[in-house]
Amino acid sequence: MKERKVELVVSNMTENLATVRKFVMDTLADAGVSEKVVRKIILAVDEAVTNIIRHAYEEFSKGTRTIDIKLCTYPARKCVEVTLHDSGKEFNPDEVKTPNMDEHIRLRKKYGLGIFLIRKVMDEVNYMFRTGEENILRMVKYLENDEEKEGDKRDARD
Amino acid sequence: MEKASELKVETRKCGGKTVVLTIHGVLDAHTSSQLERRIFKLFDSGVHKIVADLSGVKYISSAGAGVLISGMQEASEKGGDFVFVKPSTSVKELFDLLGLASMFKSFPSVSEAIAHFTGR
Repeated sequence: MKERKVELVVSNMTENLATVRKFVMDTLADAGVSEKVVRKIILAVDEAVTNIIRHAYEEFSKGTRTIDIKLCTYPARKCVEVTLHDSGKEFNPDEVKTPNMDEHIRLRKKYGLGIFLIRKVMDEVNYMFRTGEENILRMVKYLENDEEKEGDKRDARD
Repeated sequence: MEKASELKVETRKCGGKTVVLTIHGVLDAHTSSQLERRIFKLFDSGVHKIVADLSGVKYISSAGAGVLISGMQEASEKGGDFVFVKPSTSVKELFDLLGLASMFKSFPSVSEAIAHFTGR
């Protein structure tokens, strides 16, 4: 994996999710991260940006606030780190309970699975809130485990 | 570049009250409401048996999953069914992560899914 440190700033519009996914995909593919791991990180970033638009910025008009996405790959630590900054209201994922899927389905809840998915696909999820300033969400994915699993599958097929 | 709003939904009636929905593109927080409107329009018109061809879904997030789950619940409550055909890798991976892979009936072809409804 090659080292990359890139940044993207988008406004609070769900139309921008496609741009965010392409940014993550192009950066990580160029860095040499496997397709399967890239798909997981894309999902985590998409869910996190969607939460910021829907919750942290829910009181703000579309396109009036920004979301700052920093994406770094660390070959020595074999990990990808994504940090998202927003200036919306406090939204702490640690306060979101693990969803009861039966209830979720029965009540036909439209939202509430994003944080659960982020925790499923990423290895570390940390949150920081600076009152009156910003929310910072940091997510880390260690590549070794997933890459090894993929390698094992390839070996089994060969 | 992947375009915003990249979702195409085609509907095809297959006799009786069965409709095939062919879904191409992206099901995210921006596009999934389009699919939701199409599905609930079908329910409002009395269609409760829906075959969703998901082979062309390039990407799906929890927003898209929520629409498929509510479609399945609504169909079931109205005595119908909502089944999948050839879910793409993205759909399969998401439902695996949610632990809901076994919740949906999935068929390898549209004709086999229609046969599920017609009993042929």
